[in-house]
Amino acid sequence: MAELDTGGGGGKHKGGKPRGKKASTRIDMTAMVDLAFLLLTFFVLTTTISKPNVLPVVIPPKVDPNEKDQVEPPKVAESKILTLIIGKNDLIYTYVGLLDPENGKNPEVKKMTFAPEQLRKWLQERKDAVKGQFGDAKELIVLIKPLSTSRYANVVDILDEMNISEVKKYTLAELNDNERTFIVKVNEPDNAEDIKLVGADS
Amino acid sequence: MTAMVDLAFLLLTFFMLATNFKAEEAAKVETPSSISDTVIPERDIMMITVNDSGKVFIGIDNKDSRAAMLKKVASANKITLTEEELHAFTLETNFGVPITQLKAWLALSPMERESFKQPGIPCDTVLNDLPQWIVQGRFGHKEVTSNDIRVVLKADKNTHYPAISNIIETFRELRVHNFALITTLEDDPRN
Repeated sequence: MAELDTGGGGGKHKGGKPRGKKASTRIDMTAMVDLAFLLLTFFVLTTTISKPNVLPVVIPPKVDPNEKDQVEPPKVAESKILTLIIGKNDLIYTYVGLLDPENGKNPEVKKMTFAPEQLRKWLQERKDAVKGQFGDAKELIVLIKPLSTSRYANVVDILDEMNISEVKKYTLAELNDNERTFIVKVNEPDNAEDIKLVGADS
Repeated sequence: MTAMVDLAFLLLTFFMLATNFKAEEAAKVETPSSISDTVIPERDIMMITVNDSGKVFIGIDNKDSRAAMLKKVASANKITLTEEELHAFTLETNFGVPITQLKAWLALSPMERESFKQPGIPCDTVLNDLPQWIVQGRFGHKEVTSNDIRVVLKADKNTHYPAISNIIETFRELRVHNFALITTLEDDPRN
C-alpha cells in the first residue's frame, strides 16, 4: 500500500564506472502511519488545551464580638437593603428592607425563580427605586441568604447575577431570627419538610 | 502517502507542545456556569474539590509544595512516614483521606491506592481536618516557592449548600478572604 521507492533510480545513473545492478527497495510505510496516528490519538484523549474559568469571590472578615476597637458597621437606610433567601427547588424568597413583625416591619415577601424575567427584572426594579430615592443605583445592598436546602449552583447563579446586574454591594449572610420563623410559615406544602436552617447547629 | 505521514507527525508535534496532561481527579465534578471569563492562574493554586455528595478533596499543583505540606501535617500530628510513603503522596495531585487514615492509605500499593475509594477530608462540626491542610499547604508552598498560594474551590453544581458553607466558614476562620470558584463559561446576556 503505502510505499517509498528508493534505489530504483540508482540503476539509471550513467557514469564511467561500471555499476553493479542495484535491487530496488520498496518500504511499506503503513506501520509508521499507524504508529503516528496511535500516538496522536493518545495525546488527543489525555491532554487538554482549555483552562477552566474562575469566578472570584471576596468574603468579609469574621466579626469578633469580643474585640473592643472594631469599627461599628455604618447604619444604612432600610429601603437600600434587598434580601434574597434561596430555598429548595431553585426558588428565591425576597423582600425589601428589614423583617421585624414585632416592631411593625412587615414587608411583602415575594417568591420567584431564577428566570431572567423574574430575578433580573426584580433587581432592575430595585436598582431603579434606589436610584430614584438616593440618586445612585450603586447604593443598593443585597443580602444573599442561602438555606440549607439550596444547591451550590443556586449560589453561583446569584453571584453571577450580581455581576450581570452590576450590583456592587452584596454579601453572603446568615438568616436572622425573624426570618427563621417567617420562612417556616410561608413555605408551600411540598416545601414543608423540616428545613434545617443553615447556621442552626453552628 | 508520505504526505499523510508528514501531516500525522505535524499534528502529533502540535499536541505534544501545546497541551498539558489532564490532572488525575479524585472525584468527577460538574461545575456550575457563570459569565466570568477570568482564566485560572497558571500556578500557585490550591484546589479544593467537592463532589455532589459533599466529599472534600484537596490538591496543590506544585509537587514540592505537596511534599512540604505532607511533612508539616505529619509532624504536627506525630505521624512518621517512610520515604516511599512520602514519594507516593507527591504523585497524587488530588487526595481526600482523613488524617487518621493517612498512613494506612499511603502504605497501600499503587494498584490498591487507585482502586481505593477515598472518603474525602472530613469537614464537619465533629471533625474538621481541612484547616490543618490549608494552613500547612500555605506555609509549605511559601517555603518552596516564596509565593502566596491562591485558593480555588471546585464544587459540583448539585452539592448541598451546607457543605460549601462549612468550607467558606473555614476559609473565613483562616482569614482566606479572597478565593475563586471554578465555573464553566456561559454567554453574557448583556451582549
